[in-house]
Amino acid sequence: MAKRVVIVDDSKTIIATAQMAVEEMVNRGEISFAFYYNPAELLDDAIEGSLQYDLLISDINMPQMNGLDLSASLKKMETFKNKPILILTTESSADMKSRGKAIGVTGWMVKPFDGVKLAKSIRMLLGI
Amino acid sequence: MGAMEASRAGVRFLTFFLEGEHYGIEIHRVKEIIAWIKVTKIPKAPAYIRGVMNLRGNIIPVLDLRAKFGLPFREPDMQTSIVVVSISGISIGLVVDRVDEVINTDKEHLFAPPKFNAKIDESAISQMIQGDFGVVAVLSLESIFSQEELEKLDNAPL
Repeated sequence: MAKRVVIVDDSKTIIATAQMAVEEMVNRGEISFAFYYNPAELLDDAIEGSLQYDLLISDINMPQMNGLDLSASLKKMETFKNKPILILTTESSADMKSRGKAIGVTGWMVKPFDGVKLAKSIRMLLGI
Repeated sequence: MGAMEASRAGVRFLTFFLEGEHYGIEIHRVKEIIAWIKVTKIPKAPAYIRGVMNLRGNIIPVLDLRAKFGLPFREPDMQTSIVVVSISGISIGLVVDRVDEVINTDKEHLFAPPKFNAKIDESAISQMIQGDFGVVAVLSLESIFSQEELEKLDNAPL
C-alpha cells in the first residue's frame, strides 16, 4: 500500500519542484502525492475528516496561515498526532526550530532544497 | 478546493514562464528542478551557455533559453530556476524565469503549433496545450539544440 505524502506551500514552484523530486517514488507506487496551495483548506479537510496522510510537508510562511500553527493544530488531532511533519522553509533560526520541536515536527529542511535530499528525507521519515 | 492529486493519467508536462510566455516540457524529460545557483562561467562560450554547475558531483552545462531564443537578458531573482533535462542522453540545466506547475492533459487538448504568435523560433515548439491554465507551448528540446551543439556540450566541462 502506497504511503500518502501531502505537501502544503503557497508557491507553485516549490510544489512543482517537490513533485519532480518524488516522481520516481510515485511511478514505482511507493507513495501517492497530493498538494495544497492553501493551509487553511488543508486544515478544513482535516477537521472534516477528508484528509489522510502518512507524511505532511509544510512551508511556514504562507499568507492564509503559518505552517507551525497548522502543524500544532494537526498534532492535536487523534488521526494525525503520530504522523510525521517535515517543515520545508526559508526559516532557519534556532527559535523557530525549537518552536517546531515543541510542537512535535519531525524534520526541518531549509529552502532552496535539493530534490534528492528531499526524496531521501521522505524515505527516512516513512521508513521505506 | 481541497487536495490536488498528483495524477498519473493523461499526458504530463512541467510548465514554466519565459518572458511572460507559458512553456512546457514533457515530464519524462525533466530530471529535477533546482533553485538558481551561481554558475561557473566558461570563457569564450556562446552567449546561450551560462556556464556549468556542480550538481552532487556531476558537472552540468547550464543553458540560457532566453539567449538561445534571442530574448533580452534577465538578472536571476528568487524565482529563477534551473530545470535539469535530458537531451540525447546529456543532462542539461535550462534557466527559466519561473517554474509554474505540473499539468495533466489528454490528447484532445494538444494541437499543432500555429505559424505565428510566439516570441521564439517556431521550430522550437512541438505542440500546444490548451486548458484551464491557458495555452502552453511545448518545447521540442531536440530542435532547440543542434546535434553539433549537444556534442560540444557533452565535452564542454572537461
